[in-house]
Amino acid sequence: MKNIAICSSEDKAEAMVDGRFGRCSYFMVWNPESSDFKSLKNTGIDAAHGAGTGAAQVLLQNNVGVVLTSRVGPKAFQVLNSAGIKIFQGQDNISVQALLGKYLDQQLQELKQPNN
Amino acid sequence: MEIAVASGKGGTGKTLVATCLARILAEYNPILIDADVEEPNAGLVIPHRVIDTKPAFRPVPEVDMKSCTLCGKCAELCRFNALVVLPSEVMVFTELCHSCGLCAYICPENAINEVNHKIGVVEESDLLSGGQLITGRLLVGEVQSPPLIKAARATRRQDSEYRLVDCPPGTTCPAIESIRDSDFCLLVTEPSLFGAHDLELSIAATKLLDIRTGIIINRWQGDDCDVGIIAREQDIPILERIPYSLELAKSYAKGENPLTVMPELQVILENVIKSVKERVA
Repeated sequence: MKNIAICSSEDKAEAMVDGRFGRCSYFMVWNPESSDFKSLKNTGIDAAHGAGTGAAQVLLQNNVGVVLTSRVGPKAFQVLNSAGIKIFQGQDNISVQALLGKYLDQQLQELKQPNN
Repeated sequence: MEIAVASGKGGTGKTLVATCLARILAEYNPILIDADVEEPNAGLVIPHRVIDTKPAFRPVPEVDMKSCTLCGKCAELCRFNALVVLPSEVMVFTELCHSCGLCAYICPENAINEVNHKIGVVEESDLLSGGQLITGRLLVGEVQSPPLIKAARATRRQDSEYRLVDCPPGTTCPAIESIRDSDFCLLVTEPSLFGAHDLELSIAATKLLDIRTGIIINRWQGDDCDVGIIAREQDIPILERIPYSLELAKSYAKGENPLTVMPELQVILENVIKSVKERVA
């Protein structure tokens, strides 16, 4: 089973989500087999360019199959799409944990094109 | 002698100064380089005849998938995240690449070659007043202009005692690439808070580049405003002041010769050339 990554403002599951894919502070990566969260610091946050492609590369290396985010740019979308990682449209003003719950309840729509 | 005509703020009169200097130095057949490659406009205000147009390139990586083992080293080391290694391919984002060549250098399998990517053209013209105009013209959609600026600055049909670089505004890579290695940098500014603020940034850049610098205040109306304070604090001379003139602006926009419209401009800029020569000597 592939992991699920959620863009987060802090490195804990109770934290509020961060709507931006490439420039979120952390990725909270949820493992569906162990039901555990692990946090990944988004090192590309301060990149002048290429934050999105850099973040996508990090998720690829962490066995991520699904990303929950509000906004994703064209380059990151191209990488995620080519790698077979599905993107689901997140929400703002919600915790990481709650957004994951909505995804598991199949309340989120799959993003079929970049929206940022 | 190479003089870079630059400014922090845009629209202060770089092109006016650079093209008028080219007209004044006509007898020396000067080389005027339009390094504002994203929107070159010197050619709009100084009569010229285009002689030749040559393509300009920059190197970008191309991955040979027959040799690539998807080890991921290139993506890991690229400072600009221009390469992404997927489970079965390597994606190259040319527009993110800064042509540093690191990926090709470090690839353990030698699977990355640098190939030429066209970014624009360098146009070589004869100035009707005498001398040459070299114009860099970036292709629409291209984002990395420094290699084109470098190519434009290296182009000449024949050498001249005077080279004038009409620089892009600001203090980012394109401006630095246009100013670096010049003998003197003329910073054209206007007597406003905005002009003074960006002038200070430009002075910091020319100090870092260790280039002699002087200020020209354009659209001057009897008061140096904060530009005077910055010049004093930074110990950079105000070489000349070009008076505000609506008539000059109107005729300049029609493509007329500013030196005819405002004869005192000739004297002002001759003084600038004299000051620069004294300071470079």
